[in-house]
Amino acid sequence: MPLLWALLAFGCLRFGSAVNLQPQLASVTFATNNPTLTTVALEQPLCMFDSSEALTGAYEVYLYVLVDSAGSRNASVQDSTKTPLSSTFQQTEGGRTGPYKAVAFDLIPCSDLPSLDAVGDVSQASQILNAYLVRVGVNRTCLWDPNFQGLCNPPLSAATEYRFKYVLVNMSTGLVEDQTLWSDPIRTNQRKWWAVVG
Amino acid sequence: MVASEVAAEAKKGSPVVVGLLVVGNIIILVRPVPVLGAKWLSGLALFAETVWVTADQYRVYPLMGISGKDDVFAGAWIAIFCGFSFFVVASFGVGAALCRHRSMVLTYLVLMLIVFIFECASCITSYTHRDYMVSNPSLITKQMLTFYSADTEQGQELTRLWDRIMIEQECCGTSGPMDWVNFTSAFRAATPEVVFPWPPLCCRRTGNFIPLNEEGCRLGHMDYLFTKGCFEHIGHAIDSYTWGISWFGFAILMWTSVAQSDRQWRGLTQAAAGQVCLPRSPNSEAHSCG
Repeated sequence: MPLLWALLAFGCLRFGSAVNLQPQLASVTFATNNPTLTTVALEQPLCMFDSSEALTGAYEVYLYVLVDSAGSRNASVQDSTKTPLSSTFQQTEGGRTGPYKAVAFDLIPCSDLPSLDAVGDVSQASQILNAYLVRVGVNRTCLWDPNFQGLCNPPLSAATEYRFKYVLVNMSTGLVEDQTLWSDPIRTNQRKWWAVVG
Repeated sequence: MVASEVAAEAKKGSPVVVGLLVVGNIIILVRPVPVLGAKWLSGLALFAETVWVTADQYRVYPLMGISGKDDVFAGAWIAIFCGFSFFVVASFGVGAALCRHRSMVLTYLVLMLIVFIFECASCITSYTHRDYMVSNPSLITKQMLTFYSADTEQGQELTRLWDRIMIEQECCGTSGPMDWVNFTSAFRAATPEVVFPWPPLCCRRTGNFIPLNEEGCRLGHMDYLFTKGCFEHIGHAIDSYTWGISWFGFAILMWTSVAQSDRQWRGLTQAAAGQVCLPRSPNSEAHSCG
């Protein structure tokens, strides 16, 4: 746990700019089974964007997902006017032709961090897990539900390497204010046959 | 001096002293009896111990029955027969030693040999099948992955067994919950990984069997999931059965065959040859054979 805080505090040393930070996989303490066949649990960008000064106004963080390939390190998530892309899973063939927006959530201010040690307390567990983790690939029904409104976060493919990026968007202007680097490639699990056992 | 005091006590009729005198005379009069008495008791002990094994207090029989490799229990049944036979044959042996008929003693020796062979077979069977089952976790793991949550009768039986073990021993899977994640299984075919990566019974629960936190269990947080594997418990159960049958049985065999002292062997062979050997007097060590 102290190591976790040290890592988060390191982000605070960067003066408000997240350009050298990458999204990280959630700690093994919180998510033993990570990544799974179709999902990946990442740490929330706590203190990544607003470490030195509090941000004023409404901000949201978008998470983009991209299948790892030759040029994926430099893939862009905004157009020429700094407007964030709004491509979906279906439009990008699951992230193969370009990044798609999977999750959008409000930015938790750096001063408002959850106390991660209290995760053992049953009454606070759900709240803390939601504050600490972002899960990609958890919505299994949005792809075939014609009435689905909102952001679709469908399951990822097994045994595939993905990259992730957080983007800070100012809701009043609708423009990208800050963004992290693309994460290192994270590979989803591979299905093994039980014939492999013994 | 001591003898006269004892005789005086016996005349007064003190029950303890009288009893000891009777037992002492029996032992001295009939020398082979102590060894046969030991066989009698050890046969009874083997019988009792293997009945305990067959009763299966850990209730792990389905694990072996389903794979068709239940010979640990076959060894136990043979050892029940052997233990009871030792008991019966040793009683017969006491009779043979007392009557000193040659044919009876020979019959006793042949029966003992037959029971000895069966007991050897039981020890070896149990030990080799224990090795097959629990020397490493892969057989148990494969069986769990194949049958847990399967819709067949065997599947239902095994599911009940695993559910009970996981609840009672607070464990999950054979080596841990990652067994369910790393390999395909009947459970995985029924329940996609996103819905629940491992059986819901792997979640830590309150006293009323309500999961503490389902999301925490699904993610795998150690406060909400059992992270210990169940193999240790299963291995311990099958090991204790096997040690009971094979090592205890082996010890009984060694005791009954090797522990027989030279003099007792001579006494029995002399009786077999038709010679009758009686002590010269109740308190003397010397025998006169005629």
